[in-house]
Amino acid sequence: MEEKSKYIKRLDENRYIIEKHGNMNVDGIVYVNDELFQILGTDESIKQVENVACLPGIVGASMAMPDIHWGYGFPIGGVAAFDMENGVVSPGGVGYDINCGVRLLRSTLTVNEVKNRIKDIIELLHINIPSGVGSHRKDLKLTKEELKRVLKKGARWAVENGFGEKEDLEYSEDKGEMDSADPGCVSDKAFDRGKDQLGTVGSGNHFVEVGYISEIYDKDTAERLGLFKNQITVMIHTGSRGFGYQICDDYIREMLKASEKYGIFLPDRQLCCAPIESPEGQRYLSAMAAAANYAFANRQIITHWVRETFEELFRTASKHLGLTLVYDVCHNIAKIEKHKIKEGKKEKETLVCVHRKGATRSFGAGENVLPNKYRDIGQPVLIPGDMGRASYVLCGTEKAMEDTFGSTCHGAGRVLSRNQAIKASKGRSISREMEEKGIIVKASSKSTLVEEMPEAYKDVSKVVQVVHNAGISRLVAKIIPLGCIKG
Amino acid sequence: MKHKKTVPHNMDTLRYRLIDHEADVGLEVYGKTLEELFSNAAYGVFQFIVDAEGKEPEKGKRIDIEGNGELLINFLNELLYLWDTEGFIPKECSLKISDNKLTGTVVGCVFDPEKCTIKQEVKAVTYHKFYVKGEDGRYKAQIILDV
Repeated sequence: MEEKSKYIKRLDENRYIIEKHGNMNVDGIVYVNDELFQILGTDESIKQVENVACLPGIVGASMAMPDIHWGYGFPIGGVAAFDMENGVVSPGGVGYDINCGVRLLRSTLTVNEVKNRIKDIIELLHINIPSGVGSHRKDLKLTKEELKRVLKKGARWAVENGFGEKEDLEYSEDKGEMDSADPGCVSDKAFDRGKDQLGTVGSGNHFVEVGYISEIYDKDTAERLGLFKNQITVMIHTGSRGFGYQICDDYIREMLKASEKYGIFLPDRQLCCAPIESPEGQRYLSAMAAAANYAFANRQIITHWVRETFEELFRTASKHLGLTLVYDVCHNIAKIEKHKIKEGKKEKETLVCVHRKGATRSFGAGENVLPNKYRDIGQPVLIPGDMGRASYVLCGTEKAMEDTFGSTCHGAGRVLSRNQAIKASKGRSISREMEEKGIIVKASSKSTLVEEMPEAYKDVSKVVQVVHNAGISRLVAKIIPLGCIKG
Repeated sequence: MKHKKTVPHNMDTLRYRLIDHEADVGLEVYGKTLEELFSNAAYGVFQFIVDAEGKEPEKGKRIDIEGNGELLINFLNELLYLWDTEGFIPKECSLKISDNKLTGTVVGCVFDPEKCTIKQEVKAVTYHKFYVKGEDGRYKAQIILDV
């Protein structure tokens, strides 16, 4: 293992600090315990936390969550907030898969009612929901004008066109619709890539997973979220597909020029950025919001097909099966939010641009953007793990509002590179190994299955334990997978 | 990953090699000329995406790209765009590069599920740790893909 930076020091049992040095404007704070710190691998992800700290107008600290790993530009698991007056917005701080995110559906079904039928469910989900590169439903092809409406309305477009219920919109970040979206800031190329990919899961770590609640840590909160032991759940993980990748690439090119124009020092070109209030910054935020809405609509459409699949197999209307939305969260996004910022000894409520790249919003109780039903428990936080171990439901906290701009982790975080995973899987059938564990996996490509094998990831249970112990979100329930479709 | 040495327009030495990266995929690409470097980079990136050995080249695409230092990234992302929107798989490149401008033709085939196998999605070629440099009488580039 390479030696880690001499500036990194243990702050407490859940945090390490990278003291401000060189061109850093603020300290770096990494949420890891001693065990996760040891497996941080190379210095690359720490260096990335330091690089982000060098960007103009960053406030508080350059942060990383316990699922931190080496990304490009920002680390995966990175959180950084920027002052509206002097700060910047960076497409690299959001990533290519804009509003990659997760939603969770609850049901009235229990594990015993589903266990024997899981193969049929996964098989039919795989038929009904396009996953993998290049696949899409022939019955969903959009004209440019229709796509513009998707970009403005997000999940609301999907509901208005018969994909889901009005109530779904209540249980999503931004109600599934960022109102700052402007299709006028979107290139023709992005439109081209977007027209066939709505309603597709994609490949890589994206999935639709059927699981069950194996443990409840907080009975009252679980009840409020409509979750109970042995209940069947469905988790959907996908984002804005080629549409978002194109927007990110378009704006990175623009931001490389803008960084030069505004004289911004870049420790890594992938961190190129522009002042938030500049024309370039505003245009990016409007295009990014359009991609975020595309992703919200994508997850909403897939939700509808999940319901149809269960209806078909259980021969009953989906409302009898529950299949209602617990919540929908973004993992890759930049948002203008009001947070308390320390100025000397005083604290002041200030608007900042919070970048979450592989991190989840974790708003505590009382925040007025939360649905009425959850306002006194905090925002549901949905953390998918690898396909073989577990996923978690947590809730946001007031401590997250104080310490991390209302943010927490987003998943397990890779520990093996894709090459290492391929080597480790030689001579093995990952799909059979999963089946022996009672988990049915249907992947469109063999390489996805190998790269996504459980041991390629950190143990998500250890990751969520850190955010729970640090108080930036609190454990509510654990979900064990029964089966999934992957790209 | 096997390094093919039989494609006609190649040099017979290594075209690219993989670099280990925790979350994504890195390539170190080589070429005797800039044009060959670009061609080898396109080959390397598409080795990740799709196996189209069973299909012969069938159509050409005219490519005109500009870029201030990021010409290679812009070229590769253009190919990803063509793949995403038309299922176009590059096979041979005939390129001319000068003054931050690339012009030329990429000959390739269109994805056919009967004859091609998709391996995985590449979201984009990133700018992270990217470089193109001359070294020991040849060109060398490093690219990190977001997968």
